[in-house]
Amino acid sequence: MTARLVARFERAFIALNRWLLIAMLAAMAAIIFANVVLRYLAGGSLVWAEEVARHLMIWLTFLGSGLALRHGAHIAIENLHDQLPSRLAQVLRGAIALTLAVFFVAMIVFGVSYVMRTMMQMTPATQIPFGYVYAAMPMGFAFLLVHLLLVARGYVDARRYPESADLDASAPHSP
Amino acid sequence: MSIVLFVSVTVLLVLGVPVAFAMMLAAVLAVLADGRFPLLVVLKEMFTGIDSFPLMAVPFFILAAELMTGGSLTAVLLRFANQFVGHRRGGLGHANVLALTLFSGISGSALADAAGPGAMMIRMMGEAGYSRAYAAALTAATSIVGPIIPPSIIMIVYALQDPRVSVAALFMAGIIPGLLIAIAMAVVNHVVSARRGYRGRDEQLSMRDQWLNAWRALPALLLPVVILGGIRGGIFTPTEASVVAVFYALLCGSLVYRSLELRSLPAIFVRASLLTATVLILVAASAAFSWVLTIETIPQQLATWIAGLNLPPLALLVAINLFLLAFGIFIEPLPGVMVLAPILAPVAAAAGIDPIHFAMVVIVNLTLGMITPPVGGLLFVTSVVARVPVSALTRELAPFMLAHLVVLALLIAIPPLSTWLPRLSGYAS
Repeated sequence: MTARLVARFERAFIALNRWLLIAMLAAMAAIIFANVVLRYLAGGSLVWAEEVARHLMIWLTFLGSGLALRHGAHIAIENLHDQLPSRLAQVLRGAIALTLAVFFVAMIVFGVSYVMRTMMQMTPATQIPFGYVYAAMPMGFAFLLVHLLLVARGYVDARRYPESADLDASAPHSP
Repeated sequence: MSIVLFVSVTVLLVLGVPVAFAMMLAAVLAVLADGRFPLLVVLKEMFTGIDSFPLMAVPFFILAAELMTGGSLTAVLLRFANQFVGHRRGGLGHANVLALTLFSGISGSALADAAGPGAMMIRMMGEAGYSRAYAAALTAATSIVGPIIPPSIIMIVYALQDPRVSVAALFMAGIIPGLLIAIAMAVVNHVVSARRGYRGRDEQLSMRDQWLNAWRALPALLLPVVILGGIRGGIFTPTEASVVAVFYALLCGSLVYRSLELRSLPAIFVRASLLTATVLILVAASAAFSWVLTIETIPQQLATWIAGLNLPPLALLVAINLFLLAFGIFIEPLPGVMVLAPILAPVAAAAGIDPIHFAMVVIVNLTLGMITPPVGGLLFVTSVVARVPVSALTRELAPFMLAHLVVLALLIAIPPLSTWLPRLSGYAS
């Protein structure tokens, strides 16, 4: 019962994460491209374009990090894990997962307090509270934490990450 | 404070904590141990590190390359390259070098070269009788041109760290060194192929087929021309060029190569987002890490110490390069540039070394770290896609590494190799 609930949550969570990333990257590209076109055709540009795209990029970075963690895409030096006996390597990975989990929780806490402090400052062009932009950090670390908990077992056990249809699609097409 | 920083980052890296989180955690621990600053400063520095419009060229160039390879572009480029060099000794190896070099005009990172077109070429070389380990080594070694020939993620990041150079100037500066590296790789391929009897293909393509291949490859070959021409002509900034590249790739993939389908777009966007996140989170972490160094006045202390040595420029450059080669064995190029460029670039400039020349040498040097064991990102990616153990790959890499070092020595000794093109284009430094 719990296992099925977790699996359902996992699927929904990944779908949400994917579509947030797709929407943000597409919006960034569309906004900046529109700005270039407008500058040449209309001689003027959107004053808010650069700021909005920059803030989307920050959200993209933090919300993308969790999904990247899920597929083991962050660079790590894992030579030690190959050298150690497998039991010891598992203990080491357990310690790493625990360290990361504690670190992510701490960053969520600091992040929230940072957001609270910056709710009164407004961004120059769009006049929204800076807190909404900084919220990318606690939210990103929360996503990281959830993804870490979902993959921790496979990682600690055998340094195994869930397969990704997105990343596998990068396998080159045959001529 | 800096002791805590260095010890914790070293321990965390060796244990296998992902580089980005190891650097963040080290910065947090250093700030905690010091006690003078609120922890929020780490968050603030991470945020500031990626709150940058020039940096936006990174996701866009990544997306453009993904859109291009989402189509049948790799096959097109390889066929085009093969018709020029395929009949020579070690022909398919030469085609591999040429195709990767052409592809590096579209992609901005070495990993993209090795994982995308590289994987396919290794398979084809294997089928044609080359040893897989050799094919993988050739691909890994040649993928170094990815970030040297523009566009280049590492150059975008470097230009943010050193106000003396611009992205546009570095893009121009990379062309000749990139071509030199490609030539060096082809020379090694020629020598090894002669010794092992790797043959070229026998049949000759008809003139009509050759033109057809060239025609198909043309849109892809034009992309770097659009990017560089646009920047050079002052039509757009590097960031704008990168977004133009995205829409150009979209058009090429859907209209010209007709291999880009609407339903494959979500996966391409997710893939580009994930690559972007891994790169930019590393930039954010490096920014926090570097902030601790700056607070501790490490850069100034190091600069004073180096200036005290009173080395002539060339000796200084050689010394810095030896240090970077040792450093690059353990550290990825991106955090390497983030942490070291702000420290070393002022020292080099004060010693009278041209900033563009220095930037080029540092970038090539640190990128070589990607193929040196034990810690080479390119080594692992290639070993995975080629299904060859890292040890076999490393053995085959030796002659290529030697050739890389020769090119690096040339770049160090002959500044115009890096500075001539940017000068010609009006980017004086």
